[in-house]
Amino acid sequence: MISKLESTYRLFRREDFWVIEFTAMGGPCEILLKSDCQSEAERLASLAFLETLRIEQKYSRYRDDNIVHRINNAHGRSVALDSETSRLLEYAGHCFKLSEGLFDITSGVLRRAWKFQGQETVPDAEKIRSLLELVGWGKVELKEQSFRMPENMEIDFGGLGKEYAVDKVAEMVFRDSGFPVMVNFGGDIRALSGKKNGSPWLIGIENPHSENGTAGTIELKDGAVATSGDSRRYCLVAGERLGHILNPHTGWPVRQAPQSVTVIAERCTEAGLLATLAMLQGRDAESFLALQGVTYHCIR
Amino acid sequence: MKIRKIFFLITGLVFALNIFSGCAPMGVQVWERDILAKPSMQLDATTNDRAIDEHIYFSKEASSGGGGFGGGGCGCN
Amino acid sequence: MRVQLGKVRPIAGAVAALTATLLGSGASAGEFGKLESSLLLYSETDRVQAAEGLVSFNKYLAGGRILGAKLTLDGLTGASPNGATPSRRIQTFTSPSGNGSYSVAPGTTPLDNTFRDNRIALDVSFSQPLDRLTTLVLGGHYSGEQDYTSLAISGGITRDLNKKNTTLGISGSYAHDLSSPMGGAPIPFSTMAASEEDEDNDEHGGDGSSETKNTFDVILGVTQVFDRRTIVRFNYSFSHASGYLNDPYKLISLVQDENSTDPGEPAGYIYEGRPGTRNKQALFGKFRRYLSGNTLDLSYRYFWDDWKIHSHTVEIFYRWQFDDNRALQPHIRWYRQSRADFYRQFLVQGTSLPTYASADYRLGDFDALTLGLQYFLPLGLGSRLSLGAEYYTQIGDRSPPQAFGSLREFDLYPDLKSFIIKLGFERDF
Repeated sequence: MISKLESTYRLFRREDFWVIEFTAMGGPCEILLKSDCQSEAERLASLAFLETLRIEQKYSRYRDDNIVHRINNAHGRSVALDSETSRLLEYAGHCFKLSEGLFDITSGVLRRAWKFQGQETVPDAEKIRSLLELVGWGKVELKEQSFRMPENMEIDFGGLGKEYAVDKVAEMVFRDSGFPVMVNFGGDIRALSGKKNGSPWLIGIENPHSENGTAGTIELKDGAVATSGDSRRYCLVAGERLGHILNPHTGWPVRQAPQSVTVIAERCTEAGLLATLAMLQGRDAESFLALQGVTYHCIR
Repeated sequence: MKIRKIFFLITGLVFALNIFSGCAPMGVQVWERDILAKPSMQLDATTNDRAIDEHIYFSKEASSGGGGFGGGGCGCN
Repeated sequence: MRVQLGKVRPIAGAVAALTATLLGSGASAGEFGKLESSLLLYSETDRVQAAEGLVSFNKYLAGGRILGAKLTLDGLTGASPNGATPSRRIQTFTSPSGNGSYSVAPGTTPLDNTFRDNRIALDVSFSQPLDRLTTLVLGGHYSGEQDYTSLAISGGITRDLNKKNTTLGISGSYAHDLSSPMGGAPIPFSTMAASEEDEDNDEHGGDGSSETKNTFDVILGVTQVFDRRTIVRFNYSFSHASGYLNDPYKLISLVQDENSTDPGEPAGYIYEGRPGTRNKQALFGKFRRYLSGNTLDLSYRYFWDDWKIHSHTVEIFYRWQFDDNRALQPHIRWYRQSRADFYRQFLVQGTSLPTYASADYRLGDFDALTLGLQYFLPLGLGSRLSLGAEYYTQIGDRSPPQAFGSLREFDLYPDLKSFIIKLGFERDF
């Protein structure tokens, strides 16, 4: 997943709203604004685009000039944190506890043992075992303004970053202008309409089994949609198709996981988290989501 | 009156020990603060109301202090 | 949350709460500031009437800092007891300004109705987080009325512990008050001039200069979360005041002794005198619990000082929350005070004068009760209105055992009854 940053965005009108389009966070990004005012749309487009880039650059693991790089190359030393990173790490820690270890942002190193390009794989058990020693949020030391973890461990905001950016950008635009807004970064969506009457946003859910088919439509006034799963990234182990989400306890991809899980919740970050956790339940994804009391779609 | 003072001292000590002991600590997890975050559960809200009440009671009674503090600063007691 | 065993806990609510905190979008407060304004109307039957208006604005700055300013204006009219006891005859008193006098009817509690005062007060405050768990607060206060000025500074620190379940706080303040009573501060126990003959207004020894008072206050507090629905607070406060602590307008009746022709009748009036220092302490506890949408608030305060005043205050609020955010809050406050050791409702002519004495009813023995009802109404767009009505009454000892002679015929501690109306408006920006 290489992120290709385009240097700018497109702004145009479609029906009765403005569309801001650009590429970021590894895919197509779209922001819809219900407004008649062009100058406001231009101003907000610029702000939204810059905020997206800011978050992407700050939390991307591919860069060598951000806090993630400093943390991942600290060789066991303590790193000073700004307040936003401190809050994100604290959030990751709480989610780790709530999920009993299934959500773990230190589990990224496990990807070194797997390739998810659709090929048949024989997993290297020894490599997985040695990588598992570098996994575990319990091994890190998070303080209010500093973070320390053992050498060679890595943190990865990949499971949080896009959804967090969706929420931040949507809330920023809405708080600034009061216009109904929908932010859609590659299928992770946040909609805010406020209390104004008007039609809700209509969101179609893709069915990975067919190129152009949809699995349904969601109507959203205030809320979020997040999807976990990627039909193009999988591997085959002994003929069984395994998705690309790795269980931090075992080091293996989850077996019998749905091809995709879509969760609807109030905010994108929490929808994304629940979708990821549902995937990790494998066969029990649907019952997990039913127990959480959220609206969801699973496609197997 | 002495008994009362001793009672308070003991309550205070028991309380303090409880807070600092860490055994069966009182409190909630970060994600359980939904109710506590509600405006009606904020102890320091309604500042104007309390300032008005403080002022009335300060002018009509000999006691002061307690809930919070703020300048009295009127010539009424 | 074992993947295989299916022992899954519902965590969606917890995740939602955490996410709201992460994004800072949970707060319903405004981004820029908060405006609060209130109006108070206070009326005692036959005595003091007062009106007070307050406007305060808190501005939210970067880094979690808050700057606040509050303006208070109040006006008082009406009559207030001057400390003298009732008599069978008409009594005449010199008014505090020295220009003229006023008389009171026989059998009634002498009230000074030349009382008119307007006060303006300005408070500023600044709150700054020192780190995620510690906050510093600084404040300044000024108030001025015709015969009284007060300046104060204050500062405090709060610190969160135990995942913010415990908050410790310490705060202190220093106030410097300047009292310039009309006619000058009278010498304690000096005689009130009997009539308007005292044109120089110096019979009672006042030389027109002002008196000062310094007050230091310290409060130590702890707030503790018990469980998801309960929060508790304990405070200890200490105050030391020194300087001019007398009420320059209060008198004490010097009554004829039991063997005279008119026992209990006033022979003259002298000005009160209180000690030059006062140390006050209080212990306070508050308990607030959420009960299916409604809240119960209970508090108790025990107060004592070195004037030997003790008091108990119990206050209960119950807030009934209706679905659409309207709420109704009845409340009751019960207060019992036991008198200062130098409190005397009168002094007897011919007996040796005590070192200190005051007949100010506010230092005596009494019980007070407040009954109130408040209604809260959100107006939309981040605005809220509140309307409240209260009834406050003080009941003291109308026939104390030491009353003799004519004093036995009168109510020496008439009940105070007052009605209070409060209007409040709040808006988030």
